[in-house]
Amino acid sequence: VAATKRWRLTAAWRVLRLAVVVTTAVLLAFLSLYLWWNAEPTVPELRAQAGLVGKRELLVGVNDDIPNLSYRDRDKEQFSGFDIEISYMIAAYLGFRPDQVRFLVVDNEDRESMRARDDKGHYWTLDLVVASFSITKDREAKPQVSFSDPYLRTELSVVTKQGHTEIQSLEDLRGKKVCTLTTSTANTPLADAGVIEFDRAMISACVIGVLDGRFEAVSSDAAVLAGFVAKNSDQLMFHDIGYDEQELWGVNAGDNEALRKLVNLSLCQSRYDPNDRRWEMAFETYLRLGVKGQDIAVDEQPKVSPIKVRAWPGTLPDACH
Amino acid sequence: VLALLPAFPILLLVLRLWVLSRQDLATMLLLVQQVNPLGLASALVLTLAWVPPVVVLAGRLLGLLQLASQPGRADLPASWLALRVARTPDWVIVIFVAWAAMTWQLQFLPALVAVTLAIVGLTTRIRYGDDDWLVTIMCVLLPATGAISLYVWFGPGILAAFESGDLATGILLAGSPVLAVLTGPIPRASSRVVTQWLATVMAFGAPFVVGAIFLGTPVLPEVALEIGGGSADRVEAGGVEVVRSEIVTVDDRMTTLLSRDGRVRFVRNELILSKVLCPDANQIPVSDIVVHGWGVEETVFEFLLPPAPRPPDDPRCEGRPLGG
Repeated sequence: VAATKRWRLTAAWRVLRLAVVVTTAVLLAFLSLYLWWNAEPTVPELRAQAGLVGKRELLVGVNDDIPNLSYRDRDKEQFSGFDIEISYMIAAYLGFRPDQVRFLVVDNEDRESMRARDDKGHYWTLDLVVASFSITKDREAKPQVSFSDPYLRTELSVVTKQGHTEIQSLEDLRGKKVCTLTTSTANTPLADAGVIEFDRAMISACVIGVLDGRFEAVSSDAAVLAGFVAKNSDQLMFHDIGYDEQELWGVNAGDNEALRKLVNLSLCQSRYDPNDRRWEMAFETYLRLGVKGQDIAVDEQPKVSPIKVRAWPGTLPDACH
Repeated sequence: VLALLPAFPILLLVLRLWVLSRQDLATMLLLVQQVNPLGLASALVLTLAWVPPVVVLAGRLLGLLQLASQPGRADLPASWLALRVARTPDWVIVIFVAWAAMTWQLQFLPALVAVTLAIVGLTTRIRYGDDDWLVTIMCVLLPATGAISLYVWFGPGILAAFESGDLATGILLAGSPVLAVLTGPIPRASSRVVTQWLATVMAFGAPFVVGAIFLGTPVLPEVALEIGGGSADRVEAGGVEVVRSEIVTVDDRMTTLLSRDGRVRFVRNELILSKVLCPDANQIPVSDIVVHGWGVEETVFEFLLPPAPRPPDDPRCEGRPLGG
């Protein structure tokens, strides 16, 4: 009996060893194929795939009429604001110095098609659009739109002239003339509330209309309106309408998936690298305005999903890849 | 066949130049004339130094498994695998183990330890099978201790790999110590077929794997150059053209460049405004798992020697001028 037991044990060990040999061989072949097939790109490879190698200028579509967000000083020929700082931050990650970034003013309705014209009237196809562009399912469904992860959280708000009676919801403006942007995410809630809606291509036109009494109010994202209110604090006031949906702003990288990943990497670096304070500095400088009646935007950068990319150890925060 | 073995590296080098020249004979002749053979050989040695120990140690293990599984089979002719084992002295194996320890990445060292323990165990069983105590120590206690030690030392790395979703590294680190169990025979009936087939597949597959790896290895330095004036048709706005290419040769008058698409370009030295070496992105590790401060894709040499400085991204390598 003992001999039979021992023989069985020996046989079991033999089979186990055979299983180890065969499994190792199969596993090695499988792992090699898996690694080869699922090889993650490096940042230089992503830059090449995105068509950035050899490119002299990065064309970024921005607004030019929104104080503190994206404003063009025509005397100095300079752009400034939160969106501009975010653009520079992303451009730096893509390998472009500030003087290699060319800002072109993009019309609201062209943020999806990524076309903008320069001062001479020539049209250009943009590399990126950083223009208070809210991420929505309808926009994401369009083939020419691919949003990065969000870089700012804000909410819908209303601005009127100082001294206006309190507005607690959009329904309080029923039957009143309210201005907003063409293709704004405010269009639907305004229509639902039964206001008389006026659409303008530029939000500054709406604000001027409110100031000269043509419109009762202007509705847009709080971060868009904040600069106007801060600039005209004695004439304009915010109303917190308690709209419960957050507006998440993203960068449109068009149909360039590699570029979208790179933009996300730059946002991720900024979000999770404690030494990278560029987003925080931009917020403090341009969006911490101290205006009353409205929380302009969340003062913490939104979370960014990890991106599958190969990087030298220590060059990207762990949460990013 | 063995006599032809030294010809294999030469064949590899010629093939590499053939691929580099994009199968253009004139370009290839230029490369043959200009490229330093020492540079090519260095690339070959550094890229493929880890391969010979894989072949020798895996062959030894399979051969010993076959011998241990079929003791005293006088009715069968000795297989080529068994003959190789018999003709390879132990000191050669010791040298190859040391070679592997120096050239294999950390993630493969558990496999090296386990395979070495298995080879020691199988050798003991074949030579001193009658000595039960020695067999117990060398074939049971030693491998078990070795495997447990590996799990203890690599434990944090294994956990980190699975936690971060790096399955390949996790499986490699966790699975390799199991090879230490191969200190005894496998089923007699299948032993010859299994070991012989695996060794044959390895022998025929290795040259293709080696070739594929080497053909993707850079053998010329990749640089970015700022070229100004003189080539007005190519100079873009700003008067400076930025070219990223491999340098074939530099003499006192001309710099010979080879672009990625196989085009050769000769540039007068005085037109070159600046030059920078561009890093090879393929060197970026696939896994970022670290075990006791040692990256799993680092060899002993890479771990012990001071790392090469990684300069910040240079715009010239991205095709943009340095300018201010």
